[in-house]
Amino acid sequence: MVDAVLRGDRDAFRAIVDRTQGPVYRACLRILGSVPEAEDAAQESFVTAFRSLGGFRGEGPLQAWLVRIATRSALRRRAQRRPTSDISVALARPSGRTDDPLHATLLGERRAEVRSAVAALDEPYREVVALRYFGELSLDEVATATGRPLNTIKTQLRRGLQRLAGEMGPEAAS
Amino acid sequence: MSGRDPELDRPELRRIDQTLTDYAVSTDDAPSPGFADWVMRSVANEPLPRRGLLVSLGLLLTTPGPYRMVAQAAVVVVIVVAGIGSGVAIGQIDNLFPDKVGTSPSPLPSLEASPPSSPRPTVSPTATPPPTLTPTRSAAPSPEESEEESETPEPSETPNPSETPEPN
Repeated sequence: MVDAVLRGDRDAFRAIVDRTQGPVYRACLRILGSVPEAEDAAQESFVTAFRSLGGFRGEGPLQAWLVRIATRSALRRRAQRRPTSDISVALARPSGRTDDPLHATLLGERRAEVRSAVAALDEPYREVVALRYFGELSLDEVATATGRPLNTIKTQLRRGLQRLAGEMGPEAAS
Repeated sequence: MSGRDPELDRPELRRIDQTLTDYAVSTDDAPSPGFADWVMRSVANEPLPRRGLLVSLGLLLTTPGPYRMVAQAAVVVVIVVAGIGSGVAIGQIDNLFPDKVGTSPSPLPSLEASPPSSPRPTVSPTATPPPTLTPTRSAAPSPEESEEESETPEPSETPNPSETPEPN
């Protein structure tokens, strides 16, 4: 499909979008926590990918390449917005799957805490954790997408989780 | 996602792994129905992407096929030509600045300047002043030197044998 797009077939890019919009959008949503912001970031990521499709070397899955673009775009957006935005996001969209307002509020705060903790990680741990959990990529795919050895990715993921454990405390999974 | 990483052997890491996995599962949404149309409208006015030269060359080199050998040969030729070209360019630069190239490096001036400066003061200053001072003393009183044993330090400083003949 990439070759078709490069030959001038724009409809082939439509097929790429249809096939990958789910994971790309979800990666953005899990980082940003807001549906409108996530759609903006995902749309921007697809435009960026279209422009730089000629640089895709086919070393890994196209979806992993797109998710990496989306993850970076969402993290950049998150870093640029005001610090209070995440609180308002958590309160505005606590959960669509519960009728209990208190539970919904607590769940929303919990999600905001997870997003903030991951966003506060230093690189390269932030990107690796985000690609692994928010981008739904396997460790092999993270290694291919970032161009780093698999053992390096394992080490960075482990250290990222250690830092998250220190940041979020022992009640993280409660 | 949880439990697939054998590296996560510690309980706190497994807890965080579970927390992140639960969070990801709870946000398993899809974009709005018109999202793909919106994206396609956004790229409609974008120029068509083209594969870069390096990427094309890389694909040619790595993809098995009839053009692989040709691409590898082309890379070798490019490397050789670039090497020759850079060598010629360096040679021309060398010719443009013959003097500066020979003298500009810092080691040469520092090596030539520092050694003469340190030995010469020890030899010539002690040699030239004494000839003006001590030869007049040592040359004239030298016949009478047997009496002036106390001035042996001064003659001993100018004991250079070449200096006593010079006044003569």
